[in-house]
Amino acid sequence: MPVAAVTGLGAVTALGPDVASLAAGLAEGRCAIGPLTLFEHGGRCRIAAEVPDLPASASRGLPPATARRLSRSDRLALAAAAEACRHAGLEPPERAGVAVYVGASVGGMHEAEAAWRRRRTGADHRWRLSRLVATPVAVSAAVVSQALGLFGPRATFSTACSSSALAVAEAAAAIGRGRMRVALALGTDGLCRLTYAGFDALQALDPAPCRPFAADRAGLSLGEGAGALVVEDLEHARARGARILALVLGAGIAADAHHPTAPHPEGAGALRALRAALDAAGVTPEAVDYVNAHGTGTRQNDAVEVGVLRTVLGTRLRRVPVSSTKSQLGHTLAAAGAIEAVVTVLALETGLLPPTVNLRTPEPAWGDVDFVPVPGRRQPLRIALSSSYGFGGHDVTLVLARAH
Amino acid sequence: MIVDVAVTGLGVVSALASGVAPFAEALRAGRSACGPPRRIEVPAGAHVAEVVALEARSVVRSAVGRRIDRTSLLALAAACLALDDAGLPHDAAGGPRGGLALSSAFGNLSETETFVERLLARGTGNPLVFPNLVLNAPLGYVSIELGVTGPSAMLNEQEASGEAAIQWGAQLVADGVVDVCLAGGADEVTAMLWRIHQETRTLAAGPPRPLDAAARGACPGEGAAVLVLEPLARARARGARVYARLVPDPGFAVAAPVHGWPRDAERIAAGLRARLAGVDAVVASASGAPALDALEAEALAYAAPGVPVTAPRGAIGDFGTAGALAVVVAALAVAGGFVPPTPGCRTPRHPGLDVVRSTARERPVRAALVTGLARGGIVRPVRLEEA
Amino acid sequence: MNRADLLAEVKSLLATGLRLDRSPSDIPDDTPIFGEGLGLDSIDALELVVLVEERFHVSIPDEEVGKRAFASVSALADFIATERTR
Repeated sequence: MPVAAVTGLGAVTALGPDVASLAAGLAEGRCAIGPLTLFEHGGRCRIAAEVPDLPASASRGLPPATARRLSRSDRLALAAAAEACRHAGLEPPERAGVAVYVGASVGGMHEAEAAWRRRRTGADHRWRLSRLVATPVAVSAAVVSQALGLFGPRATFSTACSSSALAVAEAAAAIGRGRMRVALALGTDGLCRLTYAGFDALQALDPAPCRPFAADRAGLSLGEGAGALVVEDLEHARARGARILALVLGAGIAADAHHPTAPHPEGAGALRALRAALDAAGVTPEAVDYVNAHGTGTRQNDAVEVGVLRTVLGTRLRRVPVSSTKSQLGHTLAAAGAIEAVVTVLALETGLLPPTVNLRTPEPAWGDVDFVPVPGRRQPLRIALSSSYGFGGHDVTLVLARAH
Repeated sequence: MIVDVAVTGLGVVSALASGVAPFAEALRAGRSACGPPRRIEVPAGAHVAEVVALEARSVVRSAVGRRIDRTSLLALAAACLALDDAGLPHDAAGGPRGGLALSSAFGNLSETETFVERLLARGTGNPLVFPNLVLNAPLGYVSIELGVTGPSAMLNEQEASGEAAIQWGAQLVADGVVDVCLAGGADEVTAMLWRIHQETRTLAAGPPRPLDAAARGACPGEGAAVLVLEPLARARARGARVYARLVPDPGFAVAAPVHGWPRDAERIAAGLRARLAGVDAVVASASGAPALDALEAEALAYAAPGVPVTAPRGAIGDFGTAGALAVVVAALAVAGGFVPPTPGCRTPRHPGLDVVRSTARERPVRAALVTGLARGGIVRPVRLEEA
Repeated sequence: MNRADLLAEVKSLLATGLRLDRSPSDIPDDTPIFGEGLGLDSIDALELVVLVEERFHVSIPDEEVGKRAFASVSALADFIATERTR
């Protein structure tokens, strides 16, 4: 059965416009959660991990009229996708058959909100198509496909926080079926008022930067960004001399079937997803060297997640580092799966474990767990897990392996 | 190993009719649900295709489901009807060998509207409403009500959303990962959505006329369809009625304006040609929107001249997941040996196209293809073959 | 309204109404509205028809009329001027 390899990475996050700045920020243990400036918000929380200086125009490869209408989520997606394709050395002739799998939940809502306000206040006398065409979440996939000339199969997944983990899983599965050589897996979400106000109204946001796994953790911090991975048939990658960064050994997808927002108290879906992932990858729990957690910093998620890891890893958990990238990048919602997969690939490739920042005192019952305190450290890794859990109890775990 | 995928249950909640038998009968009779408003508050002369009777009581069992939104309810109702139609209990998609693939183009419109209105007016969001606004709310509610804990996904491909979800589900079955998969989609229509169409000049005056030379716009509608998909061998072993076999297909993409319809009909025809081999009926995506209709008509004239074509959006209205109902139409065509007429089409715009009009074409349909065209250049065909 | 003012209004409509990345004064009179110069597409075309209706109260009923009216910025100004005197 064909093996799925990762041959290119792209990322635009609050830590910077590319993978290099992401890697540097991870190594520094820098927390990119700061003041919310993108829009006004009247609630109790005023912070977010915003992408700084996102260029207003993207857009080589797109007609000017299209470029004018790109949403924030589109521009993030395009930048990350372009970087990943460049990194993978995918030239135009090779691009025509490349599949595009995207995870997205916000789409052009930020721009639609502005259009809505204009319509309500009478600044616009009627709804204007040009202000609304970028709203659907599937548009980012079209933007990436048309701008970069990727005309293979295309799909957009929207399962909230697990969306782009699902996209990575789908890319690997498509390669595994043997009918596709190269796929781009991508996740993107820009900040918008609706999402921010919604999470704040649910009292899910920590007014201070989130503290995943801390005893006094008080909620999540919202972020934005895009992550992209070129997932390619290993033999095909070798034949064209591509650099193999990591392997995607397998994925598990499962559901809690419990509650629209709260996770199953015992993490039934998360457990199922993790076990299914290990099973699909042909990997035992003993082989796992690192876990990049969902780790949002909410009281519920972190507790459930540690419980699930204890159940699967048993006493070995104390020797398996577990860190939350959301402590640095905030929760990038649908982009989280892909961005955190990028982070996990970097960890496998360089041996640099990203830390969990803002963690002064972990939950006492988790004193035996290694959450990778700042400043992170070097440790050779062979097999790593990356988990993402979405609203509605949609759970995905990816199993990634070092290239050699 | 690739497993043959059987369609064993059809669940439809539509403006035309709910339940597969009434739906088939209305299709055959050439009726259209596109007419004056009965539910949403739009001008009396407007044309919309609304689902009128939709009750939560019969399908919602859980405490959590008390808050279910309309779009999720449409999906859930269709899923329950599909399981009934397949002769399966409502927990048949539960357990590790059950799967779920849903889609929605716009999701929970009505509650998004109230949430944003309040946010703009008061600066705060309503915490009771927010959980329902995630696009995958239907996935959550359906999985909770029907106990689906296996692999699941929520897809969005604009006008081809229904086809995309059905193909994801079919692939799960074909991969041997699940034994029962529910797959389909739902969308609702609201007054605000209608007004957006009206103000952006994308509405026809009068009923839609898909593939007609005088087509001037689509008719906003709502509805849901869910299919039960099983391995063919398993379906036969349990004595299930098999409507058709579904051929898994990842679809393809063509160059196109990001926010619009492709212009190169030949490219689309080239992609569809192999999928049209031996096809006796085409279920078109045409909605009465001139740009789409013209593109599709030309592509089909190239790729499948003389093959009977039907465009169900003339009967059920236009919405992102109408393609899920189009797949139902294709399944009924194969199983029932008929190609329904296209309401509103009198004079086809393209002479090379055999658009079935006025009366249903009664004839064996060994294979049918749903074209699955969407803006931005994605094409998600769904091919059904006699089992 | 004299022709110079009308031309300026049309350019302003194009630049700000369609949210183009240029100032009205940077649009030459003979620029074809749907050529390479302004980088407009079919969504813009639809918007422009409505903007012209709202601003100048003249209608562009079909593609034929549209082709003439949108041949260039000055053609559009002339079209508006003519239609307004009907």
